[in-house]
Amino acid sequence: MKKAFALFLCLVMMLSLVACGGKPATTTPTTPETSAPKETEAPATTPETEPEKPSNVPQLKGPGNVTLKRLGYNTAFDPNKDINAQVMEESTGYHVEYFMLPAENADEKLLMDISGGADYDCVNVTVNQFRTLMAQGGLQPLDDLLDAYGQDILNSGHSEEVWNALRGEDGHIYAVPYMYPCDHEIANFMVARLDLCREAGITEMPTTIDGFYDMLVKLKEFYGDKYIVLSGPFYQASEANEAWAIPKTITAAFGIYSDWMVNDEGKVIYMTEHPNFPALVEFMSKLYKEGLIDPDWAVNTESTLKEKFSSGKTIICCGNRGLGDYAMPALMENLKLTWDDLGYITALSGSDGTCKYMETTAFNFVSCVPKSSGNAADVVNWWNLRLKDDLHITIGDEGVHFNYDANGGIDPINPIFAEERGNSYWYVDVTSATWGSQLWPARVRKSASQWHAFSAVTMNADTDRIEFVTNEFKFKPATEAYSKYNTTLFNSLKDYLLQVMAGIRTIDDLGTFTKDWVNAGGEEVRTELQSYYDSKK
Amino acid sequence: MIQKKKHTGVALDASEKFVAGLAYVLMTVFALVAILPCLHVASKAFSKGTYVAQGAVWFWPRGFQLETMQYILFQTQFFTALKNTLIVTFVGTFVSVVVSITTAYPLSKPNFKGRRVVVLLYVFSMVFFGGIVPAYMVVQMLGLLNTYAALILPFAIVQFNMFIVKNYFEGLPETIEESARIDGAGDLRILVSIVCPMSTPVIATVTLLYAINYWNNYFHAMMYTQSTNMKTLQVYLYDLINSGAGFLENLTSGGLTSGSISPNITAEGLTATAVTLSIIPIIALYPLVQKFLVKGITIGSVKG
Amino acid sequence: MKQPPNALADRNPHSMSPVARKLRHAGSYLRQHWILYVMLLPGLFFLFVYKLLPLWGLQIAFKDYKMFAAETPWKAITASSWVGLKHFRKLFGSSQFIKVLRNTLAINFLKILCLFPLPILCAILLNEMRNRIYQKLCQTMIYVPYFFSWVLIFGIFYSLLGSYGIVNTAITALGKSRINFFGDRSVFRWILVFTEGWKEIGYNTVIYLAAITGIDPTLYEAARMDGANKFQQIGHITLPGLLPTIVLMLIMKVGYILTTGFEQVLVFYNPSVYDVADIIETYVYRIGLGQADFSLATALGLFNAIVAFILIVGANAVSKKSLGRSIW
Repeated sequence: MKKAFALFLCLVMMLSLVACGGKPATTTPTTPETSAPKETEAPATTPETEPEKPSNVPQLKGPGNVTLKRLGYNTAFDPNKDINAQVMEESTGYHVEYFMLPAENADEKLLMDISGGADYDCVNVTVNQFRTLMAQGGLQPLDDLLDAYGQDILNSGHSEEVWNALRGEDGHIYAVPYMYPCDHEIANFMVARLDLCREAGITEMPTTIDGFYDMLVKLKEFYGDKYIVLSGPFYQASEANEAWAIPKTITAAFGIYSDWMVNDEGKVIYMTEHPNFPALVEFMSKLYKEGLIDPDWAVNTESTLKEKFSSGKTIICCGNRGLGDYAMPALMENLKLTWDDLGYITALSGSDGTCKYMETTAFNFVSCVPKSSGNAADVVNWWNLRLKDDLHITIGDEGVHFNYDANGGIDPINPIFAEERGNSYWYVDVTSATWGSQLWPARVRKSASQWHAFSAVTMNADTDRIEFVTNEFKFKPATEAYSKYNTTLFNSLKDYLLQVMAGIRTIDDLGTFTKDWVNAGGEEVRTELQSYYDSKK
Repeated sequence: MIQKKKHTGVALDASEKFVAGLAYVLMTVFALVAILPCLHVASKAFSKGTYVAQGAVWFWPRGFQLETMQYILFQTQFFTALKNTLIVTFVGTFVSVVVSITTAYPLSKPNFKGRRVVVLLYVFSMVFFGGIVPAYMVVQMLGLLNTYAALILPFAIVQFNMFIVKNYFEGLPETIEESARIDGAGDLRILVSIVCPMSTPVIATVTLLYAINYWNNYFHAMMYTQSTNMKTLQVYLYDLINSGAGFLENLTSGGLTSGSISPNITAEGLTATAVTLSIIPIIALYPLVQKFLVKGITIGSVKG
Repeated sequence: MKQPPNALADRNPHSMSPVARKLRHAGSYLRQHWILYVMLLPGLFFLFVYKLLPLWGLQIAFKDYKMFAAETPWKAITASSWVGLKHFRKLFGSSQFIKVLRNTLAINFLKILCLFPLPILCAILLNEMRNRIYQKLCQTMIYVPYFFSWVLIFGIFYSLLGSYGIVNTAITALGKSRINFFGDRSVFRWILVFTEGWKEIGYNTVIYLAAITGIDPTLYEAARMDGANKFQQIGHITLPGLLPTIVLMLIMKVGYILTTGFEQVLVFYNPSVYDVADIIETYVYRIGLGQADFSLATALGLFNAIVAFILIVGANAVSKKSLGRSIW
């Protein structure tokens, strides 16, 4: 009996070492169950004009002979089961298994998986994650492969600047770009309840900062404490540096458009050093003290903000074009509102006419290949095949999923568009330069509320009044101090702004703030940015 | 105040009545405070989407609908996640309880040689943690990544739970064991046939605690798995809460015209439903366990 | 039965040295109770493999850990270079450190003070309820909140206590001015305490209830026959019976005083209340943990662990001296 017991305990111990049997069968290479309609062009053949010796470039294994593994960011659906996976397999012939990062701690998980030897072939990451991976030496260079198998990618119209931003210190390209689709989007604006405004005697949305202030005062006088006049700030979960404590619509009037700016003398300055910074802070403090903005301005999260708006408590709400998707159904049903009752306040002008908004050219994501992958050639081939068939894969077929409208724009047909292509955005690895102007607007258009906002704010933006400032640092390669310190600096700035607005600190504290900022590495970051800027001239 | 007791039945004196009364009042208040916010969340799971977005749902569903529930159950990975969590919880709890008992028993004997060393080792390991990278690497080097074993074995022992069992064992009267020893029983037989039956309250409690631990585990489940079909319930929930809104935006078309998803389904509603569904099993476990929390089991009576 | 030659046994026991006597005693104990040692093995095995082996990675607290420095992250632990106390200096050298340390201690101390007695009270009261069905119902209801994540709890309590939330609507209806619960430094810590209580009291009650049911009911019978009223019974039987559990729980809580509450504070706090609510872990999180700085995280973990260990050993010593109870 005792011996049996002892044996039992030894068994329990062995369990832990041997229990690998539970590994799910995701790694079985599949037989080509779908006979892929072969593309007429065979991109696998290297063009004869290629200067490199073909023997340097690995041969393709071919669509039916290998299963690729792609890692992407977190999403709430299972990408293996979505119809888009099928669409892509039919189009390219490659069978792919999809994985995703977790919603939180994604950076750590990414590093551990890649360094621990997880065999992903294609990894779709943010620019910051890409830079970390590249700096740690976790990626493969893609130049030769792109020359051999990715001609369409190389010819897709991206500028040299874009490609240079994807190069490592050795000059090789390490990723392909998935650009943010709109170069001059007013991404964050304010949504206003026109029905409440009209009642208070306001018929037009202001375009100047003074007009804006008057509007807020008028609303407050009319409604008293009953409604929140202006609610914010808008933090969208996915946007890091875009999480501004003070809306960009307001800062535009003070000539402040980014945390790092270049002044007229070509010097790189931080937001706190801008001559109008004290005035901006004063303005926001004034709004807070006079009860014109949400008393919970410092406490709000994305969900509390949305909830207050959709429950009708807020008159003007900071947001982006997604706000309507959430709030409008409730507002329209509950309060019997229509589209005419939603107005938009875009970037405001200062009394001297200043209205500066930063352009939105940027990387959305990039895709790269870990060093450990043995299928790099096929990955590039797969990207190329998909880029060729971009319209079908991301938007669909004419007459079925969309129609062309009078201007040649793409008008999606619902509900089938949402059903069969709704999730295609998650799978995108590389975009062509025209994706933003031709294909992407269709995605906005599928949602009436997004289109309403987008057309009002961005498409009809008054470019005479609003000055889109070039983002000098949009394609800056990774530098040490910036990667290490900038996020922290930005968060400290945000905290400072919120504290000043709430009255806990004052603008006189700016000296202390600057000292802490220097200690946190602010000057080192400035040096790097300045040298980058100077080298561009 | 002490009153004379009747001989039959259980008579209550004033102090007993007072305490019982206090118990009923206070616990009712606590129970209400605890449960009302939970009812609020559960109500959102069954309420019409627009009411949820308006914040018009209190403690009962308004505009009752089951579409969100259907969506969660059939269109998302809910069942896969549930299956994973159930497997991990069942197997894990069993292993953990057995190992905890066999560890606690020797350590509960005052003259066990080496007792101090072993207990200190457990306490030490309770506070010192090597970091997520080394823990991850150990799992990876054993080849256990992405397996159920990785979700069970690293937490098979929760030192605190083992201490609870040890405490309980130490509180048992020694005389019972001594008389069994005189009868010739060995350590193992004493543990299995005598100590364990006397310890059903603590075994039940520790079973519950372990089950909760496995059920709730998010961070390590997230770190050690990669495939989408190995997600546990908690990982699934976190992903839904964090990414659900964005994902929903892409599938609806403004919620006004007919999208592929009914306008009754909102991100908040999805979260509420998923949370409600994932809580039900673990809550149902408690009444089952309560059966074992019976007042004092003694085997025979022991005098002196 | 043939006795194996044993030099020690041949000697007169009374002339043995204390060490030899101890060894012999140990030897015979081991032989007699070898099964007990076998019982310990699985637990120790798991302990070594999954908890003690990873401690090898603690050294990166003193290094500049570069994950890709070698073929695998494990080898990279030894391959990374030593930097001594650099990370600790970064942690402690910050001007904020004293403040966040003070916040951490204050908040957790407040929580222990207010919340520690409550589960004990609940367990005792629940035990006194005659109606079993109602007792089980209450028990289950107070235990449900434990399963809600802090993100969810924040959402619930914000709609309750936000500036335009339910409570404030009631307050303004009565003519008073709004209270900014989440932004008010004098109120905010109480919100942390209250929500933690809401979440955890039911769960802790489970533990105490189990301990109560382990108390011998004949003790109560005897006490009643001696004429003790309910309060005396509770004071002389229930509480002493709960004492081991209480001591264990208290030692744990004190031991973890530097580390608990991170997730809650992270979700609940905002810049208006940093002064009173910023704890060590949230502060470190803000200053750069998002950069996946494993060395810094390990350094902080090591500091927390050392403090916790000292506290637990200390609390245990106090308990041993004053109450005669010890974990080991």
